[in-house]
Amino acid sequence: MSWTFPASYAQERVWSANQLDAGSPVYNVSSPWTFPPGLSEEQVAGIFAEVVARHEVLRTHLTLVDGALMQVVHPAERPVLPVDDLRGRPADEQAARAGELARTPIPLDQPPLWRARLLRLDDSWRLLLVLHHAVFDAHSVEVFRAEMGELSRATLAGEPAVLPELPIQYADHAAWQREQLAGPALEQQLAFWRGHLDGAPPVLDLPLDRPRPPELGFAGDEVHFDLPLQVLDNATALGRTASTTVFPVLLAAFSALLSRLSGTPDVVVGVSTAGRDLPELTPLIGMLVNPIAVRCDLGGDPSFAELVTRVRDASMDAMDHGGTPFQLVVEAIAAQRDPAVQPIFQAALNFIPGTGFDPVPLGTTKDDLAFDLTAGTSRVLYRTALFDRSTAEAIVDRFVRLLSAAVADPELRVSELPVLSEPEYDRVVREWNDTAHPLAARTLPELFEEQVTRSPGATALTFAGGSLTYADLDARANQLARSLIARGAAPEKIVALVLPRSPELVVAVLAVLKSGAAYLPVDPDHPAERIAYLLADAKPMVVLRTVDEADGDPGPVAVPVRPGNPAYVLYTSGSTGRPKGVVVEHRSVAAYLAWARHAYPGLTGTALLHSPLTFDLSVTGLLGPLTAGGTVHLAAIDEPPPTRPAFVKATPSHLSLLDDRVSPTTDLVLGGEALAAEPLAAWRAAHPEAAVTNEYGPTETTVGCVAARIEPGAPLPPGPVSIGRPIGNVQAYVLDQALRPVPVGVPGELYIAGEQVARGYLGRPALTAERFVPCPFGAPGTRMYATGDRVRWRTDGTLDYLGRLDDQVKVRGHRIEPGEIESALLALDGVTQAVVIVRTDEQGEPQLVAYTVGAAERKDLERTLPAPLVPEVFVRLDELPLTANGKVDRERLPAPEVTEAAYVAPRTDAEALVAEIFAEILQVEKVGAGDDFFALGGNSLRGMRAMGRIRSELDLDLPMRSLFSFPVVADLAARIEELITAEVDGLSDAEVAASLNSEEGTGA
Amino acid sequence: MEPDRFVVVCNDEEQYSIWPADRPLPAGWQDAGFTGAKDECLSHVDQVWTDMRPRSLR
Repeated sequence: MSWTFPASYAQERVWSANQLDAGSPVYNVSSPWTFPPGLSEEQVAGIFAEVVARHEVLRTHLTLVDGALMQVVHPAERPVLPVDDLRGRPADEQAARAGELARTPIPLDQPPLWRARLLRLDDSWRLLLVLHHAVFDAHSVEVFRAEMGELSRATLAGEPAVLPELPIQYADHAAWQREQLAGPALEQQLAFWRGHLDGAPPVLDLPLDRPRPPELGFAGDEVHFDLPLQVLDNATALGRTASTTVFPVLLAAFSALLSRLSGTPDVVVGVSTAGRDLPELTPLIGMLVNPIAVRCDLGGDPSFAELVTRVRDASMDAMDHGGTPFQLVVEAIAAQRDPAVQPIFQAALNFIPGTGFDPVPLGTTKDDLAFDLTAGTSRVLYRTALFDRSTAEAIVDRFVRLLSAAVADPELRVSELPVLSEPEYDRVVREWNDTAHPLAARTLPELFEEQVTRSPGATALTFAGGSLTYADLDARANQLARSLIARGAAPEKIVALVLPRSPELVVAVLAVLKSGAAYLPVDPDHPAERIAYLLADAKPMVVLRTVDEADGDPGPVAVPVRPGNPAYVLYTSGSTGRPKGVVVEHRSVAAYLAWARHAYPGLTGTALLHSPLTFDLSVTGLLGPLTAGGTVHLAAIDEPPPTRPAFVKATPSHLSLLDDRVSPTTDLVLGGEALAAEPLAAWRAAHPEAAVTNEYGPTETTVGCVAARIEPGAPLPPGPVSIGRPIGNVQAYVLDQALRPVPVGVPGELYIAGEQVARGYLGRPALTAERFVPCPFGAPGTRMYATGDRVRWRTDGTLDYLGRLDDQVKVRGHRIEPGEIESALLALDGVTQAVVIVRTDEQGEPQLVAYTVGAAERKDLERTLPAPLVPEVFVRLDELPLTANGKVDRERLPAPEVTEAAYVAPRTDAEALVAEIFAEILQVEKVGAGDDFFALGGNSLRGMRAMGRIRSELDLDLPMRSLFSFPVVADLAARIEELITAEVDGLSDAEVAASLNSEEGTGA
Repeated sequence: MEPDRFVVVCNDEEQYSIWPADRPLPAGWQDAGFTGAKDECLSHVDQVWTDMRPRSLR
């Protein structure tokens, strides 16, 4: 005999979350009890039986009836308790038994939803009790302890126990709750939550140690720590001044930390409420706790005191609506949930003043990150799929540091609260930037002329049809320099070189440098309009369009050039605004070349100069050899030189053009674009003798300023290649928007300081002032350049390039790193090149589009990337369009063809079955193979029903999470077919088909 | 959390830049006498920084 009642909303929530991994003990709660001495086994068993008899919920299990979750209550029977005799055994055996029991999964579909053992100890009995969270919560621990205590006392005294009346049972509450929460009352509550969470980020972007897996599991771990009592006292005192408790203070500090680590001023944190507002609920054991989402507004960089007030108000508002079952809030707000992300909030904070937390670590977690704070031992639970233990420990340290500083000085702004420890600060600011080495301030003419003196007869330049020695090149440059000087060329002046790649261009560059002027390379193949713009903007003293056969004095020119004078002006096009001229001084180029000559031994051999001089990548291959005694070979990248060059610098997009005759023997330098390991692997395998260097550097910090050298044969892990460390005399800082260093692993903007920082933008004082800012870390009065690039430190002091700050896009609320998607594409077999961009679709919505050379499809990426990162459109190209500089030309990527998502009738029996069940449960007339359950208005409750139907129709063990992973009819049907194939190996294909056919026949 | 108020600053080479108004100036930089929103500060720089050569090179 048993009684059936509807399950509570909280039970529905726990049940449906538990379906994601039914074998996990994640919802186990331990509530052990030690009896006072003097009781017999019979008596202690009787005491426990009395508590079970009082609370129906301890005699309940859950089951689906016609797709609705029900609680089934069984009559009271005396439970049988296994006994372990531990008399005379070491104490750790107790803990071992407790741990074992705590980690045993409790299936929800059979009573009882708890497991218990009696331990016979030397002087007393101890009950080990583990319950499913569906029938028990933190307050239930208190109720249970009080009843066990009173019953024990009464039994020892031989008196009747004095226990509170239970006017209602848990199932009554569940039924009452369903009556109350209906119609306008529910709508009003949900309206609050819709408003409270409107526009909130769907995922908290904490820096992760690993990419988020496409599906969540419960695997977790915990780190224990003690909050210093002084800090807790200060926090309590600060709470008092804000007329509140300690909790909003702790929550404010937690939200500040999450905001600083994720770079967002809008943070949603989950908080538990007891859910026992009514007096009838106080004496009940049962699952009443309800999570609420508190949205913390850190906008405008408030002081900590102000933040406490904001968080206090936000949490009071949220708690006022804490009666709305979280399950219903999720359905209302995040029905279309992403199986990779826990809905509404991913980080939680609880303050448990009295009892402390569940003492047995379960190796599980429900949240990405959850702090349980107590006056005793506190802990953080973390998802091991996302975080390493060392990261969780670092987060604890940061929280304690930030909270301590905030409560000691609440007037500090959020941006001023310390997140880094002093050793960490020292490491990222000083240790990893300790790049100083002696560097004489030199000019380029000096460096070249010294080389002419060292090796006048050596070949400086080769080209189709000829070559020049150092002495020849110097003489011709001197002759042209004299003529330029006569036309007004001088230090702080500009000479424009509108010349094709030719020996004359090389002569002209050296001549301009010798005259003291800065050269401005202009590509004669560029549109006339652009050339006219550059010349009008730069106002050069001389414009050289041809170089005549030289005559005149070939001897040295005597112009006093200073290291601070400009050497060249290069125009760069930003994503916005007109092209701007970057003015780079001799000292900066000399500093870069000093490092390059040391880093690239290939520069003493032949270097292939193929890229236009308008791109500063070419500086290495031109001025590198000419100041190192090497030979510059002028040719296009697809024109093989007579012998293989020793040095080639190119962009990663050029890799496919580097055949055996063009590939360098000593140094391949790649720059100008993000580099991934996969496209490089084939080249390295074919050319195992060459070193590869990934060189990063905006024109504003002179050619290259951060570099990673990959030695021949050195293994290279898949994915994006690190850009390495700052090179000699360069400092790299990764800063937040308040210009403070961010922790290792946290993305920030890269700032570059040191010798290679350019003078600024030609004739653009405001733009220069905006991007070249005071450097608070280096020598007084120096500047650093804000690169606009997002990077993060790795723990080894090398930098990861993450993309442009202004490329950072949000698609459907998720922050997208196109680079991350590109690496996933490149990891696919057959994909050799990939670019991901965001386009605006017909509806004006941002849309991710993947362009690949080689085939790639949605389903390839769905296995490795969370759903929001999977591009909506894939475009396969024979080759990617390149700019003249060899970078991918994003402007010329074709717009994808718009295809209307047409209705596709179910094509297989499985599709027909799924479509029919979806249509019935969602009350939609026509469901096609391409339709998405959630897009059609499904929520997880209806999902439970749909999956229940499918399970029973096919007699198939199909977990609930399959629907979240495969919400589209065709995908779910394919999954079902896979499962059938796997499960019914014994059956013939015909039998399987027959089973599907017969199921289809049962429908309308 | 970009700051909302900036100050125009200048170093010994008479190079101009901007800095968050509520933060101490980094060593080697002086207040150039203008505080305001970022755009206002940058417009001011356009007015006063007429010779972009470092002072030691003029």
